[in-house]
Amino acid sequence: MKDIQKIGKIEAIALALAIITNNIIFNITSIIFNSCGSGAWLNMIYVSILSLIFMFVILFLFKSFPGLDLLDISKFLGGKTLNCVVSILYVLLFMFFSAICVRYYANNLHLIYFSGYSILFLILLAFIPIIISSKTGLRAIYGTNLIVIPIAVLSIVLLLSVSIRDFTWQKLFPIFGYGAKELFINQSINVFSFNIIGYLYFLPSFLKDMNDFKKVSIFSVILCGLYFLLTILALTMTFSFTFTADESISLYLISRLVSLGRFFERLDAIFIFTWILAFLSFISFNVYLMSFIVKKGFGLGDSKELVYSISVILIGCSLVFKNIATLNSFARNFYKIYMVILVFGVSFIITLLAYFKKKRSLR
Amino acid sequence: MNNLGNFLKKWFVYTPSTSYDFVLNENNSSTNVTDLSDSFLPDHNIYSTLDKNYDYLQSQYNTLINSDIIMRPFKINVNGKTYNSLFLGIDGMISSTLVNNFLLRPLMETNSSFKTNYTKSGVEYSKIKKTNLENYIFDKLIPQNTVKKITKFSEVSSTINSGDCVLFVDTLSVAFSIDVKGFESRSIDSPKNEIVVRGSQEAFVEKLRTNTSILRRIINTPNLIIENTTVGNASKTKVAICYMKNIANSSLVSEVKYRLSNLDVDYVISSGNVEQLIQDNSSFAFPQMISTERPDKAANHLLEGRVVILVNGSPYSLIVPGILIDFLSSPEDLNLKHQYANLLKVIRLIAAIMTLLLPGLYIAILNYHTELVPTALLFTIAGSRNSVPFPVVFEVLLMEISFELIREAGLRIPSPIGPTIGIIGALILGDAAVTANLVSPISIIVVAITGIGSFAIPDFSLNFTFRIYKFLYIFLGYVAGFLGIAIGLFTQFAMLCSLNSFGVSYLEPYIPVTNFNTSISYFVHSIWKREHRSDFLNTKRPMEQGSISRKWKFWKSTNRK
Repeated sequence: MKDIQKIGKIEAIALALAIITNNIIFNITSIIFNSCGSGAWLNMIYVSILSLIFMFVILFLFKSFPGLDLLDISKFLGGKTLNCVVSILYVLLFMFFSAICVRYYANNLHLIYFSGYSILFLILLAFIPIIISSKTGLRAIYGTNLIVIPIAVLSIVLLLSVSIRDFTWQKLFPIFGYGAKELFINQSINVFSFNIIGYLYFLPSFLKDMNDFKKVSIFSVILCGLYFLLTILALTMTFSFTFTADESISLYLISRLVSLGRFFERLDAIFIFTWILAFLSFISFNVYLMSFIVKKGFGLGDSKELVYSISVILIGCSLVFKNIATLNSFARNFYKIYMVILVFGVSFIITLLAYFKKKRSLR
Repeated sequence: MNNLGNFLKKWFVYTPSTSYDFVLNENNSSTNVTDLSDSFLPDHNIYSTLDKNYDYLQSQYNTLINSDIIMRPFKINVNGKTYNSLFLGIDGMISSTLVNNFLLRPLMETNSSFKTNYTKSGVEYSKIKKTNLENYIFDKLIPQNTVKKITKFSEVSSTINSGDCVLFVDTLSVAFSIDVKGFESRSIDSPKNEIVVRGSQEAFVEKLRTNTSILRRIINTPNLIIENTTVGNASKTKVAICYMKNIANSSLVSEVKYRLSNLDVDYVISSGNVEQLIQDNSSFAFPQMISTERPDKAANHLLEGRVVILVNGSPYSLIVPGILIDFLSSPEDLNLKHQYANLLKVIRLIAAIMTLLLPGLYIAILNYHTELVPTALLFTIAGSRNSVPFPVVFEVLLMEISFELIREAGLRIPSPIGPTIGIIGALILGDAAVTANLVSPISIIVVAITGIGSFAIPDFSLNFTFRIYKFLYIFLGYVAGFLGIAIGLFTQFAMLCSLNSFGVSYLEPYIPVTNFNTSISYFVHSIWKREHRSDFLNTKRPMEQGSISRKWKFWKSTNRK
């Protein structure tokens, strides 16, 4: 982490896939499914289109700031103060999401395989490789990601394709779920599932070639939409819309139904294995990104040592939740809204104002 | 107190990183493959002025840095006239006895005179016969059976690279190629540890000069530079740094020289010592330099743009930089058609994964994830383990340690009975252990497959590395099942991704992603598709073949003669 190492197009897409995959694994799709019922897939198409349009607008605004990320733009607009505020807001966003994932991971493993181990032990065990990886630097993170993510993506695609035989097409009806107004107005807040846009704001700092920014961003958003749509379709056609998968990873419940002939009757352990790898990769990247934001936002010289403190805070945050119910409540009532306001509201306003400022200064 | 202070400082006081990071410079030269001929085979005519020839040869052979090129100026006397002459050869490839006794001595000691005295009318006259110097030297002064006149520098190059020497004489625009070969041949043994079916059966020996001469014979070009240096304050061990002047990245060569010339040790006795002294990360068990006893493999890597290090007294050369896929590749791969080579590579990959993970996975599955095993098989395993009083981890560890013991003992005992001990040890011990209910048959199968898999890994050092990490995965599988193995794998991936070998990422060309269409990737393409040299080596000459290497296939029938 002495210097910011740059990444290419493929590495950036792999990082985007890591974020998307973890969104799917850690029940983001389940939240949408529960809120929209049988119309979840239609809602997903709708929010995907909204997010794509938003991404195009952001890309247009970012065009005026080649090679600069959101922190640079906020510094341009409001000086150091705004830069620090934006840094704190984004660190909090990533901290919240990471804490949710970490706690989900620990609780599910505790529930499925390791009832004899405490949740703290499972979390600490996971943080050994996370700290090593994020301290080693960006190359280790995107490198492991390039190895791990194709396996995780493949496992999810395989899972969805194998579970086709359990699909009941009739479960897609009623097509509007709880009603058109609920689907397209009230639940448009489900754009929160596109938290990848929050990460894309920082991508310019890491990209080798700025021409790839547009390609990577659009591709990531489309991929995210497609991936979510497939998962939601699988969930909708497998489970009844009254079903809630609060306690456990919804994909895990699908994986328990998978069997290949008489030899492979229960393959869920293999899926969990690949998802653990994807989880470790994602949290490593989050820890690295948070330390990068703190370093850039507060003008620190070296972010290597920050990895320890951020990891400790993250472990603490994940342990704050009493149980999965409080975690779910936090995710649905606070994180969702915070994410939409920050990524789709505050960041957009900052970029827009900076754009006008730049235009005026050019005149 | 001081120790406590240091401990507190280490953990609580921020110190900026002082690690040494070497990064390969990018070469911007994109030389077209068509000018290969110009650079590899200088085709100038030999000059009639010796000084010009001398200067040309000096620059062509880089005599200031090339340690094995001999250029010996001397004088010959013909017909009362003194002619400056030059002898050119390669140390290690020519026979010093032949050169001294049958080349230099006749040339330097003969003082030929073509003066004939006669008396006419009481007056004594001297008549000097006209003679042709070139013919005279050829006919009278070189008592060798094979002498050829050559007129071009390209011929000079191939002559001396094949072990002959060349004689230049001032005023002559021809040179004499003289057969004085004296390099070591078949005392050079066949490789002991890197056996191939279709490749060369030559191996490096302990003598440095013999090894350099083997490389010279394979790479028939003056662009091969062999620089000498010494390592060890007391032993002054000779070390040769070999590279292709027109291919290898200059910063890579400089880095190798820098590391070798900055070693403060009393002695080095083998290439293994040098390897440990100059590798990037010594706390990591993975090998970071290729160690080979095969000259053809070393030559192949030289032509790819890597640097070869030869150590006097060691029959193993070191090749830098080394990346992971090098250690999973066999020299045989390049001799086989790509379909055969790729099949072997798949098998080797499976073997490597089994060596590393199989015992750990077995323990993890039996302890935590029994639902993965089909019910019928699970009953069989449970039945076979029914009478075993130990936990599965104990069984596996017991057998793994026994296996390592047999392997080590097999190496130490004299060769005629070594394999016998191995077979008998494995058979008797395994059978006895099962009969005594110490271990279950399924554990024996797992350990045996792991052991066999480890033998399929071509590189000795990587084999060792995997055997060490295997024990770590056994522990992780026992502690936390698939979670433990995932944590181990992830940590290992992260460390491998951060590992560098002489400025090159250890997982190239996959991480970071570079051009796959090169001669170096895990799976090999057809030989005619390997047009590019590896991106990550940043060589001066990115292409190693023309875009159409099999021109015969694509020539129109009208072009055929």
